[in-house]
Amino acid sequence: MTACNRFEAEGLERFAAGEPLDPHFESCADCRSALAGYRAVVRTLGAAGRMYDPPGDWEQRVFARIQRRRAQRRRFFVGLAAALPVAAAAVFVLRSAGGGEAPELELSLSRGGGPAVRSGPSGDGSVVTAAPGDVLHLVARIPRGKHGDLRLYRGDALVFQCLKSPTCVVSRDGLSADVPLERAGTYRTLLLAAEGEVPEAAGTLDADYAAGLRAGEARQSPPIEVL
Amino acid sequence: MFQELLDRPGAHSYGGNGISPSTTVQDPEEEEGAGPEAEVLQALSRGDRKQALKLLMGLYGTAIYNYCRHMLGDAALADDVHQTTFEQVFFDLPRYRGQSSLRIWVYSIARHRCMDMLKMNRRREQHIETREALPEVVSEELTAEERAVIASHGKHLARCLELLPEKARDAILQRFMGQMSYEEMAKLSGERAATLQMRVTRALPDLRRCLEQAGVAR
Repeated sequence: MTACNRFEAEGLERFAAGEPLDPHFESCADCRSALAGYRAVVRTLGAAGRMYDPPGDWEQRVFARIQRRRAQRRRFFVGLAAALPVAAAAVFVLRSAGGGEAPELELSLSRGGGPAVRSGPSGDGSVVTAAPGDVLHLVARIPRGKHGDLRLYRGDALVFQCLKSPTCVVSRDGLSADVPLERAGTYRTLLLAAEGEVPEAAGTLDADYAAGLRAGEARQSPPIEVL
Repeated sequence: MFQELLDRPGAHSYGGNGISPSTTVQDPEEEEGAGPEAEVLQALSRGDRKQALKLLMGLYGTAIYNYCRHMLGDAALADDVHQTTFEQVFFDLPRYRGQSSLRIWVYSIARHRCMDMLKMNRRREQHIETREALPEVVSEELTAEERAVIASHGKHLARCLELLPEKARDAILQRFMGQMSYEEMAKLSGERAATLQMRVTRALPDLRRCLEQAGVAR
């Protein structure tokens, strides 16, 4: 006699969704046993949310971090004001030490066509955040004579490729595009530049970044968190 | 003994008694009206961001810490990500729009930070040595006997969660530890609710087998 496996075949999805189950699962011994096992798993997981206490001084540590970050921001904005002649909406500019021969990428965010919603330093561990519906403005300057592409990834997956998008603007100086950030996730921009054709998109950030470095130059922006 | 812990106020009663796990997983704040989150919103409306953060720390600090501990499996990493999460909460509070509960919003930040940490460790090819032999700081609210039971269960649960792929572990923790609905999980992760439901359903048998082998969930 074989054991009844109807619970895992038919009942588990409903169980996991918290939906009512077929009475069979209480009357059949095999299914009842399976159900009891899953209920025990769920109870264990429910208790896991109270299993550990954070360190006793964690709240003070958070406030200390906030103080440090505020101090960093003050330093950054003082520097920014000195460097920029007009109030700019730049979130960050990626540029190498190569001067005019290196590609540059400028990103800014706006909310519904309004002003920039966030600006901050890059490279100090700060995270730029945005909300679903915010628009990411990308401007890439590609050195004369080089080929370039501008790509946006959500997580590791390619979600926008300038050269294949009708909304991408190609000019003598480079590429630009406005990309709505419609879904939550972590977005990163990749700017590629090469003497020859830039590599075809493989579809993942890691692969495209590696291919870009092999072909010429590849620059990744700090992450933008859409929450 | 473990059952006593589970039966304490706030414990999840998912499918405990009836023929089906009929308890709908809900945001606790939804069950009590605006509840404690209303105080946070009031503080925000007064421009008192520090007080709002303090309230959020009190409401969700422990839950988020436990989520990070189970996601990362490492106390030091969890400490760091937990604090980073609330630091980010402070700076992002002015842009909270109420599109989800504050609880889901805070979880969403914590999830991103945990995923970044996991990714960073993968990229550095550093294996996160998880799953301490015994958890060193279990909740102080527990009795000595409860602490011992939790310590034992925690070790097995950590090992079994580690065996799951990251996305499955994340979905399982959100669903049953965070007690979120699939719709809330979808808001949090940006994935489809049906995808998340399938992921949870597929992960449960592996988790059950592992915990049963360890003698935890029978």
